[in-house]
Amino acid sequence: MAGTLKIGKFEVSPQSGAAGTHQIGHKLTEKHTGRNKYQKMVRASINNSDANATEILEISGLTPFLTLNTSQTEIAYNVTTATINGTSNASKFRVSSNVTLVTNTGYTVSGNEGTFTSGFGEQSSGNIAIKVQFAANNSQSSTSIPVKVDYWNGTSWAVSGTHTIIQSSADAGVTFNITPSTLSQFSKGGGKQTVTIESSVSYSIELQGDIETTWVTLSRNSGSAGTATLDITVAAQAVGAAARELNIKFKNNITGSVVGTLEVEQAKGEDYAISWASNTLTFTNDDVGSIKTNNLTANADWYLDEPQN
Amino acid sequence: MEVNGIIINPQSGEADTDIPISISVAAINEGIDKVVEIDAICGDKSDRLTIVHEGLREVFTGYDERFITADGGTFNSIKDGL
Repeated sequence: MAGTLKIGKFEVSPQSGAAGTHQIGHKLTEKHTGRNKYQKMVRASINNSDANATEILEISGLTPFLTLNTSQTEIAYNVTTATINGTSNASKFRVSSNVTLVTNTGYTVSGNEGTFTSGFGEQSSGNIAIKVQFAANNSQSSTSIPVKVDYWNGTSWAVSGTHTIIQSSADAGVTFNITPSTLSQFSKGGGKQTVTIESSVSYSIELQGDIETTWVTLSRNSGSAGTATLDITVAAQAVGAAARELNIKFKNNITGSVVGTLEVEQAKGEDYAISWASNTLTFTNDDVGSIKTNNLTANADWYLDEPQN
Repeated sequence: MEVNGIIINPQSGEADTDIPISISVAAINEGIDKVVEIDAICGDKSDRLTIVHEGLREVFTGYDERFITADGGTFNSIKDGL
């Protein structure tokens, strides 16, 4: 007896054996986070015969969820959009009516309701980036904009939570300019972009908007009054990874106000790809003992499986 | 892995180009042609391989006759030239 058979998220062992009654072990190798049932078929067959038996391994779908990665975002007085990052396996979501939901990668918009791309969340959860729009803050004090996010649990709307957008007031007499004022979208391979910052006050620089920020590296995390450059370096995307984004915020060290923000966006990773060198292989009836080789090319971990339907 | 008398190895692996997959048959196919399909899966993408193990026999076809059929409802005959 030997070998472990990998079938999707399952491992079955041993993979072969002699005549008799055997205990076959089944192991789940990764959590199923999709909202639909996950199912795989295992076929046991006797050598040189048509005799076989099948079993179905299945995992129930995970109850739909939508989790927000952070509870707040700080922005400058004149910034009118913010992105709320999270994770979900739901089919759709909605935001409270005090903001306007705008289109972003991964969903379509109807009013304040967003519908995720077809198939999203069915077999695994994924990252989401909800973009909302609101007015500039022209008042003399900072303002808080609570954005309530709901998701569809299959039968009704459920509350995910509230993400608060804190919009600073304009600091009178402060000069803070970023040139260029926006970054180009980083490619899947990552790279570096440089901006020049002109400020009349000392300031801090922070990454915000996601729980995972290690993919962005800054050349410094503070600055003094004057003109200086800032390098923003972005790591390469993994194969199959979704597009991602976060914000850099610049805060006045004296007042604590956000005097500037910069959005960092990166394109999705390379799509998964797998292909056989030849899609058909033929043996003659007495080709016993001859081993034919067919080459496979894949850009990530791969496995072989019987068609499931 | 073995599927219906077709032995395929390895059954899983890491990213690479031109990964050699060995395919062989376990025994002579005394019956009719056998077709086995295998999906190679990587993330949300897959590519199907069709393996044909030609059999010694083929299905006997006829009409307006009465035949005694073999197991499986077919009446097989040895292929020409074999």
